Amino acid sequence: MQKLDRLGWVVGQSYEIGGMRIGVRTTSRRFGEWLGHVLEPYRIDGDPDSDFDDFSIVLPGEEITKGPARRGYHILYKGALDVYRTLDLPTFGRALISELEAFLYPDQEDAVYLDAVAVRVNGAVLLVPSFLSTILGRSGRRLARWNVALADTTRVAVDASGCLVTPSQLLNYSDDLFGYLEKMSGPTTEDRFSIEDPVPVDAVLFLDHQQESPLAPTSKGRALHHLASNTLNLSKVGGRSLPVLAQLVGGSRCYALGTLDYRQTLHALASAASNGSG
Amino acid sequence: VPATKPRVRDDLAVVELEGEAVIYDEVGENLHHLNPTATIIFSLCDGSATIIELAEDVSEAFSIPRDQVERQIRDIVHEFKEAGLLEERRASIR
Repeated sequence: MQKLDRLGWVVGQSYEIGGMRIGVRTTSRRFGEWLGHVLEPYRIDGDPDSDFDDFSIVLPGEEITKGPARRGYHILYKGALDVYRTLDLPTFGRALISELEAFLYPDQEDAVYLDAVAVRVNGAVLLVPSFLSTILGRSGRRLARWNVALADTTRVAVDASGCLVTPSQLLNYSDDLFGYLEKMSGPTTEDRFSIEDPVPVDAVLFLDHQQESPLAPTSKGRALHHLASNTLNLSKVGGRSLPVLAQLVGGSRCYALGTLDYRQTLHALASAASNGSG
Repeated sequence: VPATKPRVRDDLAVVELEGEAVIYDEVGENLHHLNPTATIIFSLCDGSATIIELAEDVSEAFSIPRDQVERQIRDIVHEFKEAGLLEERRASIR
């Protein structure tokens, strides 16, 4: 522990991953100790409050008296933005590690890594921009009423067949370490889904600020261009990414979103999932 | 001034989906998306024909007035050039 402050941070540590200095602080001593153990090989001396790309972790507990953590959410902030929340602590732990591993994605060649997330709506798998996941994640339990579930990771990987796959483990840690989080949290509600096996995408959605309607079908070419533009390792895999993404897009319906309004977005997702035009 | 026979660069990664091309230029690290018309013109820019010859071919294939087609092809080829998608090769005047 390096610093206590009035905001409730009890553990803070700096790490270096993929050449980036990252500060991580948390309101939970036990979670902080777990994280320190997982990321031991990457620890560096530094000031976690001033390091670039700092992550803040707020976990539910007696000391939390207001905000979503009071309702049981484990929340990850990147800078000032809450980028991830879940009721399930092991899911949260995996998401945090995935978020840190994302710093290494630009150097990978085993898959195409996208700054996008998978969303399951009425059984259909949709690929949407990452920031949409953040917005939807804030709506908490209301998502379940719309039959919407967010994936447990904040990025996706695409294999050679154009299917979504679990991003490779890139940091050096033992998977057994997540068992500790299960013991630490006890029974919780899993509110996100995992991509276990390669899964095809039913629909690709991207934001189009020029568009007036909340949802409109668009061409596969536009969708491919959008996905390629959001490829985290594009400079590494280069043109080889295009046929991969073309396979993904080729089997999907493609839509442009014209809204960020929460309710309209949910309607648009439901419509895209059911093959409608919104 | 010799007529130009536009030719797209050999080192571009190109994928065409339902008549629209997406191009990645690894040298400039740029992505491009072409609409169906530009995709047709792009596919014809193989260095074997001048713009006038391309216009004749397209005019005949799509039954569109040649002067109208030629103007459009000139604009599109100019955009290709501005985007760095072409290798320039000079040819003799027709």
